[in-house]
Amino acid sequence: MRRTLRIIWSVLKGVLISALILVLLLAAGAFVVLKWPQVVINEPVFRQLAKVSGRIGWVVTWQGADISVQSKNILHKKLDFAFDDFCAYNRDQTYRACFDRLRLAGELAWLNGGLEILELGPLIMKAGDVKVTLPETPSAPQKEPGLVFLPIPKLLVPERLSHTRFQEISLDFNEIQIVSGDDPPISIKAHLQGEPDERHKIHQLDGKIESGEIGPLRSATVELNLSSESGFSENDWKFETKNSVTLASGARVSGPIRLQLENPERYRIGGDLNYRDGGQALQLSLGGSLEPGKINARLQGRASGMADEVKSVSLQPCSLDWQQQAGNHRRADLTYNCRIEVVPGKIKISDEALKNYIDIPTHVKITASGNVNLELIPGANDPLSGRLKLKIDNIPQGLVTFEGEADVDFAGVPEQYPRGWKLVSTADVSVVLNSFQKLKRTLDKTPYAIPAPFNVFTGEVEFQVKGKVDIAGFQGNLPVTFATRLSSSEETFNTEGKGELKYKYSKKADKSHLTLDLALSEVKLMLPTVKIESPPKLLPDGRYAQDIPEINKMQAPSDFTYEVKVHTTEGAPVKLYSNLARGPIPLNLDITAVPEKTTGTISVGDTRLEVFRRVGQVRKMLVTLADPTEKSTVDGVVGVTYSDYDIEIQVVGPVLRPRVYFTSSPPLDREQIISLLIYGRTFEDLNQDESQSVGAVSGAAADRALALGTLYFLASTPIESLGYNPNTGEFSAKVRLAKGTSLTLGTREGKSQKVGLRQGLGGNWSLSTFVENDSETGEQAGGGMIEWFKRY
Amino acid sequence: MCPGRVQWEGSARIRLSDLERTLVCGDQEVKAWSEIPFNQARYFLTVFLQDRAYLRPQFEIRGEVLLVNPGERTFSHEVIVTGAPKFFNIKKKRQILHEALTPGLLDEIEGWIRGELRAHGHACPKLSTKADPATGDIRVKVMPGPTFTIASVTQESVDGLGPGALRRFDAFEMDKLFNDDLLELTSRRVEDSGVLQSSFFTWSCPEEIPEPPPAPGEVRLPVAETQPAPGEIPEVDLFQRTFAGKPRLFTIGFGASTEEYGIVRGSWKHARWGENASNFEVSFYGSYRRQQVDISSEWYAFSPLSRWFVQPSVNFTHRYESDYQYISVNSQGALGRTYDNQKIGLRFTAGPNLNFTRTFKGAQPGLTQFLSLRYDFKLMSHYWEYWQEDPRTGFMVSLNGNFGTQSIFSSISAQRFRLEGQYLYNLMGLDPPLLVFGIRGGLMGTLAAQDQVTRDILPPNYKYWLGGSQNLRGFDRQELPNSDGALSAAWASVEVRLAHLLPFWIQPFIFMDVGILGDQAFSFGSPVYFSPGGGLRVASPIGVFRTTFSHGFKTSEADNNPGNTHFQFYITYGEEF
Repeated sequence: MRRTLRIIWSVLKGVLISALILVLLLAAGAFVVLKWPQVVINEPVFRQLAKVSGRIGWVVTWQGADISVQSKNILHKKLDFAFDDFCAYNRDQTYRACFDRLRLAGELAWLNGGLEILELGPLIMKAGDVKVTLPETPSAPQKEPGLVFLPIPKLLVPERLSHTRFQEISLDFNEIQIVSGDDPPISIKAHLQGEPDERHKIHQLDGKIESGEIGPLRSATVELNLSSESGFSENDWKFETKNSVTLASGARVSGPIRLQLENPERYRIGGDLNYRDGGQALQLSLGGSLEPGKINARLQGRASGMADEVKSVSLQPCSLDWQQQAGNHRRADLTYNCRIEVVPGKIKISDEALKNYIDIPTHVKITASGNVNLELIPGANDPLSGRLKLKIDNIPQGLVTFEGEADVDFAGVPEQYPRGWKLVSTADVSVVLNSFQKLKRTLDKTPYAIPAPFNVFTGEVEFQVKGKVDIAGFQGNLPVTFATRLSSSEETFNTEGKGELKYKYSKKADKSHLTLDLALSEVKLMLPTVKIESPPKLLPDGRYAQDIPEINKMQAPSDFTYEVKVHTTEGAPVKLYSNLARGPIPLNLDITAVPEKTTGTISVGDTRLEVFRRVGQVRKMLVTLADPTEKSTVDGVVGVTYSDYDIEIQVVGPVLRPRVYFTSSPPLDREQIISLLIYGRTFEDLNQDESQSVGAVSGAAADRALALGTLYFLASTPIESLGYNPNTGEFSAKVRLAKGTSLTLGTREGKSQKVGLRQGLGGNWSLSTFVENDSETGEQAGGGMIEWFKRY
Repeated sequence: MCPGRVQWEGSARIRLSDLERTLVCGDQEVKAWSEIPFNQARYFLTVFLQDRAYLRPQFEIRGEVLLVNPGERTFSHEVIVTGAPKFFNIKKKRQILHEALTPGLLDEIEGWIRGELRAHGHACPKLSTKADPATGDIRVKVMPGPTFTIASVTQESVDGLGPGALRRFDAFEMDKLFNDDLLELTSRRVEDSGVLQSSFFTWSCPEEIPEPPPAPGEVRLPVAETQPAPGEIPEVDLFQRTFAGKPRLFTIGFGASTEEYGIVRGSWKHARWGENASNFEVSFYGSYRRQQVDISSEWYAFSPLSRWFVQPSVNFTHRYESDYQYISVNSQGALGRTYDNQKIGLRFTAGPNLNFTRTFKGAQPGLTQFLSLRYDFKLMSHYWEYWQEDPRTGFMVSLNGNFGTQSIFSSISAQRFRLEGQYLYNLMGLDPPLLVFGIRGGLMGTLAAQDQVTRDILPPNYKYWLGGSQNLRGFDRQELPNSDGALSAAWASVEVRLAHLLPFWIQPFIFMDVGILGDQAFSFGSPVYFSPGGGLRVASPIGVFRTTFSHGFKTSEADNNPGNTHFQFYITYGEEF
């Protein structure tokens, strides 16, 4: 046991002695190092360390080193390391940093039981050349970008450095190159400079980063300024950048960005953005604050040069308030209120006259306000809901006043739009033409002049989109109303229309469709005074290659279609006033117009007209419009009452070639009826010209060569004689001139006539010429006779 | 035009009608139309000026005035027709170049082209015309369609008229080429006959306009076939429209003729008698030279489609001429027929004729009687008949005469005949014609015994004279050979007329007439008479006036009448060459 104890003691003694010696040696070594640190902190030692470092994969080299260690006392040292041509890189040189000169200095002391850095700096890196080659990694699926809060760091000097004196910081990189896969390397030039004040505090750091072509950037220069009044001893920093970026497209983006801590819970952000690309320019000014759970921002700016039609769009200003939702930290409410001013561009008005009358509005003011409930950090897959209220301020224009507003309640997932979205809107947009006469005067000398008899109207025309709107993505339905309240001393044109405007926007083509039901609530129109004469042609002859001015015919764009139903209301037909009619001509319309065609019916009510020199009665007249127009049909009955007969003219079939039936009570032959109608006498009392005229009318009627207009002309004009060429379908009339004279001289050139002419002299008298061959004597004789005849 | 509002600019002043002016200037009586905006006025003016061949008007708004410069009228420069068949030649159409380029001119050109095509079988041509206002060029695209043959004719029913009764007037044949001119000629024949007051043909062409439902009892024709089976010629069905009027016509009148001066005339005619539309007419005629009563009928006693007819007639005549005077009673019962093909029309009648003539002057006074076989034959080309009012083409030949013998109820044996003909040629085939060349002539003769007794009692209507507007225009009316007349005569005329060139329907012409006479049938003696001359034809709306101025010549003095060569002036009314 003793032996054992002695052995143990001996071992302990040996250990104790060894430990003591070791401690003494260490103490001596430490003393030496502390006393003369240059013993271990010198270039040879560093080179040995560099060799060791090389063996573990990191190579550190330098050409020359200036390593200075000042020992103020044994526990107070001042170190200054400076290397020339310093390089450090790993074995495969994926990370490499070289500097022409690298200097780091500091002063350390053991105070108050701890090691304190009394001074730091200068830190100088000159002509740095850094290259980082990133390892190729399989690309991770990109996360849907979403709105995020900007993380604001606390920029404070660590507590341990609170009493440290800082010296100059100067970091100068000629090139920092980052290589990633096969992508073009990113190369930037950067410089960071910080100068201490007299209290050896660094209040600001200035930097400058310059880059060449990076992705969409052709070049970029960013000047940085990070400052702190407290020298970063407090979290009172300000960060400001001055940016100048040239995009690959040549566009230039510049402007400062400011970030400032307002109080420990609140940061102010601010910045200006200037974008210019050729004629396009955007100036945006952002101001606001961030605090936990809340963002307030104000945007102000102006964009111009985007399109000819829009000179500029200004935000003046736009406030955005982002509030974290109480009880649900993941969601937030965004409240916004933006005033937008749109300045229209220079609208080309081709017509000189219009330029003098149309006032292009100098600006359009729109207010967009509302709120959105969304994820705190919103993503495309996160549902959102809210309300948008748009209001367009009254635009007093030379011709029209435009104003409107719309409320939209929306809810849905952005990524799934429009699927599953609820978009319920209430729109109230109106365009009011306040003075029809002003429009008339405006257009008067233009190709779009309002034609007579509409150009005498005064009053207003209103087009309104009002009501619930169902907007589903890029298509929607807008309820519309249209109304005219126009009148003059003789005429009225009051209409009321309701309908719907459907629109659809897509990448392929935009389409909109207007459905309008227009009721002619009160329409009275005048026709010009028509004298009895051969009617002039009112339509241009299409056989000429000639430009004919259109009256108010505008080509509708192909992406806009419409279906407009125009109809009269019960008991309120359109009334036409003509000197040929005894009283108004009532028209009932039910017409549907689409871009390709116009269909429907026009019916004439009970009308008393001057026809066949008597008062005739339109008992029925229904025109059914068809496509093409030539296929339009008519179904009408006109009655003419004589003392002994009641004659009805029935017109049935295509408008251009109707069948005309003549009936009477008591029954008469067709020739008798026509004879009575045209000449007021029985067929037997007609002379040859007249009876042939009756035959012509009868033939033309049977042959459907009497168009509706021709028939009316026939009925309203004193006819001397009529001609009908069944082969050409041409119907001609010789009109009786005033005061009973009507002798129209002229041979029917080109076609033969019968031997001997018979010229009516009125009544049953005629002048006839004849050629006679005497079969006995062979003599030929010609003569003229005035004859009275009677056919029975 | 519209004071203070719309004004003409330049020298042109175009007269607008009242309604045109209303539409351009406004209607001060109707406030709604009191102000016509410039664009509307411009539209109407453009259309109205188009109707007057002002196709390039210029409009300028100067202050509150619309200035209208109608510009120059556009005149047709060239007519270019494409797609027409080979026979067609637009150069045949006159008076369409250098004419005002109005819609009327375009109508005329289209009408002419359509007429030409329809006269050559193309029943359903289609045309598309474009006129260039700048150059005056007119381009007509012709889609002639196929040629058709006539398959059938459906006659619109007339009370009392049998179906097919009108077919005897047809100037065309079934299953032959469609020709619109012949349809018109047929219609005119129907109207001239008095059977109907008016008639024309229609046919159906394929068209896009839907037919309205047929009226009760309406005849609806099938649409012309345009796509026949290979090798077949498409057919067209005709529909003859009819406007009958009352069948009985009574007329009475007074007037004058070129030969007989004052005339009184009256007639009563039943033109649609029976299902076959026979006719019966009683007429009287009175002038100081002639008093005449005719009772005649054309009785279509056979089937409705038959062209045979019976023609009984009775005629009482008193003629008082400078060379002769007689009273004649003539009764005849003839059988006749007509015939037409696509080119010509023929009418033939023949039958016994009983004539009593009491002669007072010009032959031996006294009563003569003749029972003879009278024949009448007339052959006309359709286009001669078609252009009868404006002669230009075609031919006509007529032959009539009597066969009589003393042995059968006749005072003497005498046969007479009269052959006449006419041929017209439209030089260069222009339409309307520029130069019309015409030949006409006649050969007349009476075969009778040469003894003096026979010669003395031979009535004047068996003798022949020349001279007058009808044959030798350089001689007085019936001046040749003398008051005794001749028993044979032959004459020929050649005439060239400048037609449709001068204004006021004036058509000058020159002519040469030649004639010869003889005192026996087919025996002509000297001298030969001829008369060159010229004249004017005025085709006025109230009839044709012709004047001729000529000098008569003869080859010898064998006629012992030295005073019959002289200048002769004629003015006639109603006569045609």
